Amino acid sequence: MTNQPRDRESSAPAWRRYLRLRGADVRADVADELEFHIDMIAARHVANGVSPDEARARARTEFGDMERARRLCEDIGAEQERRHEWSELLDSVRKDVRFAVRSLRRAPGFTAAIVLTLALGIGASTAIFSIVRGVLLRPLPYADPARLVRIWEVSPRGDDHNVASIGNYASWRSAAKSFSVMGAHGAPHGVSYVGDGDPTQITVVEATPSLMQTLGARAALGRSFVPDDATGDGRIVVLSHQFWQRRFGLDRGVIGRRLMFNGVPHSVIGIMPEEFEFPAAGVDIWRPVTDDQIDSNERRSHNWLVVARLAPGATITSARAEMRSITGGLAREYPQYMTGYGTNVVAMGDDLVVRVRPLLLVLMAGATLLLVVACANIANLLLARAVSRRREMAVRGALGAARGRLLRQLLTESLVVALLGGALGVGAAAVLTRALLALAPSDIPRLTAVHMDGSVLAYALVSTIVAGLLFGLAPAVRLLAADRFRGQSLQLALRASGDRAGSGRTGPTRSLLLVGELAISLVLLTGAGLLLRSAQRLGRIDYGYRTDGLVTASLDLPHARYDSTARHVQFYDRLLERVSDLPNVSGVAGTTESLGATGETTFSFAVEGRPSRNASGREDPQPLRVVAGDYFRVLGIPLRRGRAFTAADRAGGPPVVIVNESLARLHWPDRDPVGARISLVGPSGPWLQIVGVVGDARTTAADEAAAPAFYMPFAQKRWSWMTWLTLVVRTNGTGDTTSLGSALRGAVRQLDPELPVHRVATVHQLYRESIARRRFATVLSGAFAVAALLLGMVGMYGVLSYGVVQRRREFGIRIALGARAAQVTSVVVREALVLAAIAVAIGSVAALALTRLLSDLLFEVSPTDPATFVTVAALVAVVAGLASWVPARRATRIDPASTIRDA
Amino acid sequence: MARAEVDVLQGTLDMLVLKALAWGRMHGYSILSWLRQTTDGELRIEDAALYPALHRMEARGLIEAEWGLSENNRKAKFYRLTTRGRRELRAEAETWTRYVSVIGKVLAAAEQGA
Repeated sequence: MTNQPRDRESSAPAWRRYLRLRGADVRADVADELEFHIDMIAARHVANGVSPDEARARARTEFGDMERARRLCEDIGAEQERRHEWSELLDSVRKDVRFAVRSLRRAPGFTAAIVLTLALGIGASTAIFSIVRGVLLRPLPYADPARLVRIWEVSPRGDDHNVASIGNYASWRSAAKSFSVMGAHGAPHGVSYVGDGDPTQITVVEATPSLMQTLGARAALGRSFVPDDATGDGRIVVLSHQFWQRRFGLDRGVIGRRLMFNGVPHSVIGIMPEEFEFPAAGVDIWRPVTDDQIDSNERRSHNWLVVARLAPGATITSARAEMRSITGGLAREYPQYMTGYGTNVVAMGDDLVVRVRPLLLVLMAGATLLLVVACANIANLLLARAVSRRREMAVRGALGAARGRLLRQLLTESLVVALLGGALGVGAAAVLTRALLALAPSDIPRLTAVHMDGSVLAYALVSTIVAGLLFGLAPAVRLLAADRFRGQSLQLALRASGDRAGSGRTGPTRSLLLVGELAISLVLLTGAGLLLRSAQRLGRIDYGYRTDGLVTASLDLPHARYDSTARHVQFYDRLLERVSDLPNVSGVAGTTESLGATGETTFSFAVEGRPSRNASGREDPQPLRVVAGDYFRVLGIPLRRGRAFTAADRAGGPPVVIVNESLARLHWPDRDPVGARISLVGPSGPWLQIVGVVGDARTTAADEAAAPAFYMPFAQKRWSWMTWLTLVVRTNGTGDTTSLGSALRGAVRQLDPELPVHRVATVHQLYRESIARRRFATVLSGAFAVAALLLGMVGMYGVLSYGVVQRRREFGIRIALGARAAQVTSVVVREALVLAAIAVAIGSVAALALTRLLSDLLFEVSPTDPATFVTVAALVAVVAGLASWVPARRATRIDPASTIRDA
Repeated sequence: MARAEVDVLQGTLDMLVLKALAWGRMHGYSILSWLRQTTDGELRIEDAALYPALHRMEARGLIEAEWGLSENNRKAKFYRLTTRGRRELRAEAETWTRYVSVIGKVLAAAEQGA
């Protein structure tokens, strides 16, 4: 083209310059512009001699559709206006961000400190949240999980999670209208599986076919149970995805194959989906309970777990009411079994996590407090910087930057640095979550549902932004406060290059933040301290027997090949004999207890010649431990009276039992129980004679106190279903489980090559597992507390260093007047200790109120344990003193001459 | 010169306005006057159609506007080309010229064939 105008375009978009000139009134501008055009036409007509009125009328006609033109122009203008506003906003945000990045780059150490501190806070809280989300918040992977409930019995002793008798399940199922479908299952237990290699013990759950229907669970491949399976022969199994993967490499051809479980062939009918974990992770197969296995008259043994789906219209409350009346009816019908029993209906989601909720909430609270401490620390850093930037801000203010603009600039800076910290924190959380999952006790349910998913990331993002706004607020508020001195403040700020004792003292705010930070650290430390003391107590438990060098191994004889007590006894006798001949073994016994684990088989009993106060005619059920070999001697449980079991206590011989001291105290408080007789059936016998009293032994979970219990020789047990035994081996060494384990397996293989040996572990290992949850809480809260304390220490250091700089003149004058180094030091240290003392006072009060929440996790330690409180307070004081050391030394080195000259 | 006016073709108004503004800053009325003068009044352009076209092009960044004083000392909105507008004009003019020459060739061939 020819005729290029000379002026070149400037870089700013044209419409922005135009809009500035034009103002924002689109309508007026359009009207003005069109009016001008009409006037020009009219003027031409007037020049040709037409009267003005006539000229205007002609102009309007000539112009054409004025209204349409006006409307079109206004629409375009309005659209432009909108785009402009957005663009303006984006543009200024972009500018703010660019400015923020530049100013952060100028202070890399400062920026790194903030980013790392925040990453610590965000990382820890996001990692814990990802676990909370997976375990507590994510809905169960069943159809309409909110309608699923568990139904428990409430035992006469008040245990509201008592497993149900199969007779009760049958009655509930036929009577209750609140549920559309109900199913029952047993606890997961081991069966032997002989595939291609060694026999292994796998985990099976026996379930009524209606259970799958209740859960709304479908197989991923093949089918799960259908109602017809209840009338079949029960020789079918559904495999878990994990078992399918592990043993069959995801081979689809496994459907229809016959596998041997406990020596009995079962056809594989289906594979469950990967996320199906019922009732918990680790189940390998599910086997149906057929109708002929359900004895609806069996109300004595309680070992079924019941799940039901609420019928349409029913609520948990209405279901509870109905179950209460059904149970009342059962108690009248079967007073000998049901007196004192109640029922408990709980939402299944709640039920699953009820035991871990306190733990997770405590950890979440700990991580959140750590995040708050991190924010306070960052706010302190930003405040320190705000002071050194007062000049910059004053100059920018004087040059016309609006207060809102500066405020936004500061907040943008905080947000940018927060997002950097948040991003790093999410990375840290990913690593931390994996570490936590590795460390987490296996009894936390649903850990497989823990992922860094969208809601976890959203949590991280929201907490990052909130954190950024919170710690950005402090310097922003300072700016506003300083703004009150506007006008004079520029002069002041410009002049006050060295000495900053002007209008902008941040000392009080920073000290306040520091005190808060230290107080929260103190709360965290107190919590961690109480948990640590609990751990200490747990480490020093008197178990009532010698736990050192004891190794256990579990066996379960398949009922198909070992169908009578005589066979069980024969097998275990031979096994005990072989094991006692192994090298390094000084003794071996067997027991039906699961050592180190919660939950025992309990039996009620009648005492001869003493009618029970209970309507059932029997005393409340107590744990029965059926033992083989020289059990008390091998474990080191002391015999208090009478005798231990001997080889003579066999089937056919006079039946005998031994009680522990707690049971003796409970039922024979004022006489020797030896010689008394009890019956497991009823007040008319058959009788078992008490031949001895032994000391209480804490053989269940480490944190469970010893309870009343009684013992029976394995050879005299009456129950052919009691096929399992845990071997307890006393070793001479420290209990090397690997070599002993293979020796044990060898001994078992010689007797029965298809029998798996399960869980070879030392008793100490079992106890450690039983308190894994406590250890998890202790380790994590300890880590949070130490992190918070370190942050507090850094914060203290920062505040004091700043204080020393601020008070240079004062120190200079003191030194000039002859103050000794120790005196100067003590001024600074005293300030630190005063701050620490305030923090200790506030923190201790807060801790007193909060540690109660920990009581579930504490062991034989009061939530207000004075020793812990005192120790923690001392620790905070010592840390404060340490943090003050460097600033104090610095104060002594101030050169009085230079500071006084500066004034 | 008594030929009847032709309507301005759809889409060509923008190009014509850009061309007019290539001479310098103008307000709407003078753009129209220049176009009418240059075409000897043979092109019919509705006054009302000009303004939406101007505003659209302004929104597209082809032209920019500012308020100023007209020759008769009145407040008027003046438009001028931006760099983008100049580029657009160049491209449009080129396309148009080629189009005219191609159509011309077709029509000339048709006449010969007849």
